[in-house]
Amino acid sequence: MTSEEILLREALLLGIEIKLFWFVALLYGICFIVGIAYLISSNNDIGRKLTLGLRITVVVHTILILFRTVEGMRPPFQNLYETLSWFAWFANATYLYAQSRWREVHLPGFIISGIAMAACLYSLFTRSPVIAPLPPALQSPWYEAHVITAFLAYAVFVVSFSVEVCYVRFKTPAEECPGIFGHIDEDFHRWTHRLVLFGFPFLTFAVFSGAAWANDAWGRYWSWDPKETWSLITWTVYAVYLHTKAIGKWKDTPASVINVLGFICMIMTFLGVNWLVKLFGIPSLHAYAV
Amino acid sequence: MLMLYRLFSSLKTSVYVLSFICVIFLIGTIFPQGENIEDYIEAGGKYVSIVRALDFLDIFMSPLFLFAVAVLLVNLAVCLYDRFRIFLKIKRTLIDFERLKSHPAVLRFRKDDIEKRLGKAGFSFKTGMKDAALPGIRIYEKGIQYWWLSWFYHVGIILAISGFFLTALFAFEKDVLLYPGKPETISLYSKETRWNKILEKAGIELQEKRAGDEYVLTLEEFRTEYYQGLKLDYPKAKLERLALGLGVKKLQLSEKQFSYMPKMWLTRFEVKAPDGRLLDAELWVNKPFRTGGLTLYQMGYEQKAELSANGKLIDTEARVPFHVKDVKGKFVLGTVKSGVLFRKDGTTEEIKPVTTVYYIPEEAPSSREALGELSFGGKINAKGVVFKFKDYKEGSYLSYRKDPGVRLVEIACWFVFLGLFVRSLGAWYRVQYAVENEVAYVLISTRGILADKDRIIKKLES
Ligand code: HEM
Repeated sequence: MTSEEILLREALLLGIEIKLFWFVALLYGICFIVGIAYLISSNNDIGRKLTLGLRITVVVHTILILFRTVEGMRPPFQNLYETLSWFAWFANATYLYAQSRWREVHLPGFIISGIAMAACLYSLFTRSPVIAPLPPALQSPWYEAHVITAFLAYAVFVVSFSVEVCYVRFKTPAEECPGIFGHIDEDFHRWTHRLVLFGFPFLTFAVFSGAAWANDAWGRYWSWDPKETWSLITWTVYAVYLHTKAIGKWKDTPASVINVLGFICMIMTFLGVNWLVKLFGIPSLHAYAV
Repeated sequence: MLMLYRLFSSLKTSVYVLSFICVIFLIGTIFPQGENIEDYIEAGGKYVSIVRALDFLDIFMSPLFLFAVAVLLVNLAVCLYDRFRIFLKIKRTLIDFERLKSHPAVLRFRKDDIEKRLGKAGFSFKTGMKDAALPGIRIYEKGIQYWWLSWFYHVGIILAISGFFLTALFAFEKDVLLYPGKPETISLYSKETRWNKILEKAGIELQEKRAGDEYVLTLEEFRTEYYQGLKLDYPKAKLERLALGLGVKKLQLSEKQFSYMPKMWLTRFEVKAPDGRLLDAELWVNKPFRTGGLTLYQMGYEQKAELSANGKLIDTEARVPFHVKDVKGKFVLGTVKSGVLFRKDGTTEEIKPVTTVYYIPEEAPSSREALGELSFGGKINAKGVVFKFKDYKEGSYLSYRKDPGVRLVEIACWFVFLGLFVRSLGAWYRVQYAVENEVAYVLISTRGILADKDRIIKKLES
């Protein structure tokens, strides 16, 4: 095939893929609406539909990711367009795995579908879908390791966050079980800790591999730029969370609050602090790259 | 003293200290780091007195931050010492039999070979108690003792922080621009490290240069390679993107079909080491060149071009505006595209060097009007000027660095990561067990995500 024909074929495949990606975003959107209905009605039949919806979506989403893998002849982890999709997929898959252990608890699916939909739409609206070869600065094995582990950790933390929120908001004493929205009890809550414990080594590796990559690319493994510092804040907040889980008196509500704080820090690592800088009237002499 | 010891060996203290450090990190992301206080005031920055007093513009070297980190280090050290003493003579406290029997999680088996089964499943005996009145309790364990893993990665954190400080005190970084036929001398010694500045402040006089630390670099080749990147007419507007998703609009290749995507910037050069040895060196982005304590990195490149404008020679640099005599406004050259293009079909093509000439009107110095492409040896006529592209040179822009902390940080990070990984994901089991009237009472506790209690129960049951 000539270069021109290859370029035409790439454009054609990309057209199909974009439609599939929009369809996945739509499926998450539908799940989110079912989630709202569940929240309003407290009807467990609707809750089951929400979980079923997320199961169908994870299958379609897997097809999308495989399609892009074949299209680009490499795993799709190389830019924000791809990693946001992979993040949504991983959050959903992790949630469904955990959910299979709780049987009648469906509520966190509401939060998961909302976040997954937001990630897909952010990717579709703001990023270019072109499968481009990597620019020199990103050609490092550290880069891929960095991106994969960071988003894997983030996805797991999102699930932990959604479980935490449901627990804090809807926990019921054991004797009243099955309680509203299924049986939200201590055992269910223990999952937040397990999930963070699972995600934390990956987040650690993400920070470490980011520094190792910076060290190879421009020789300075740490420059305290806002993005780096926010990733360190997120890491430290989750370390604090794990510590509070080991302190008898703090392992309930204080730990829950810190877990939610960890999630907020994670979002800040993404979105930056420009608005905070404006809020405090501080001249941002350094631009913050998202 | 005892109170201080208790304070510093407490997990609660670590939560407070880490939270405080987070607040300092946060301040470091809000206030522009490394800026001058005068520039900050001029830009309308608020809270000037507190910013000045607490060093908010260099917060990661401020006394406040150093103090917090020092407290964390003491906290870690005392905590590790305390746990070390406990772990060395760890006594597995045996649960009393009645409590075991009535424990909500206790399992009952009618088996007399539980110990054999535990042995087969990889458990080893740790301790036991024979009591004349009550059945004896025995403890079996399997897996790496998680408390030691925890201990080791906390040691790793101390090492990582120490490495950070080595970097902060002794590392330095400079850059060098290499043009063909123009050797440059660089040195592994710098007066500018934080440590040397502290020494100077203390009145110690330092040398400007140090013989035996100098390297001479001579550029042999700088090369740029490009890929063909797909170029689409991909809309920016959200609604148009949605239309693409719905199939209302079709995705189109742009007229140019592809763009030149940088693939690699490569520098080949010769290094003359302080001992006179000559080394052939090659580096590119993400692949630095290391020799002795020196590391060189590819940062970018610079391009010098020779033009003639209405017959007069002009020496200029890509992206740096220049004047043409008797013409209002300024001109500027874009990057000179040269090197090799790797085409989609697997072939390569030598790119004929080409640049774009832009005009900058006097009344709008931030705008750029593209006047056309100017290829090497060619000419264009615009704004009443005939530009000819006579010659150009590319210089490789490298940075070099000496950092005695980086190895320590690297080793420490592996320590922390591997320790955490095995601790969190690995599997550790403890079985407490006693027999009464042919019924075995078994209490299983686990640590680590991969610990599978049900599997052990099956092994004891089957
Ligand atoms: C940057 C600082 C620190 C980080 C990132 C960190 C990280 C962690 C993490 C992730 C855990 C939970 C995993 C596990 O249960 O083994 C943990 C547990 C623990 N940490 Fe830290 N830590 C830090 C500082 C400290 C300090 C200063 C102390 C001193 C009091 C401390 C004492 C402990 C103890 C005793 C545990 C064990 C809890 C248990 O076994 O359940 N840590 N640490």
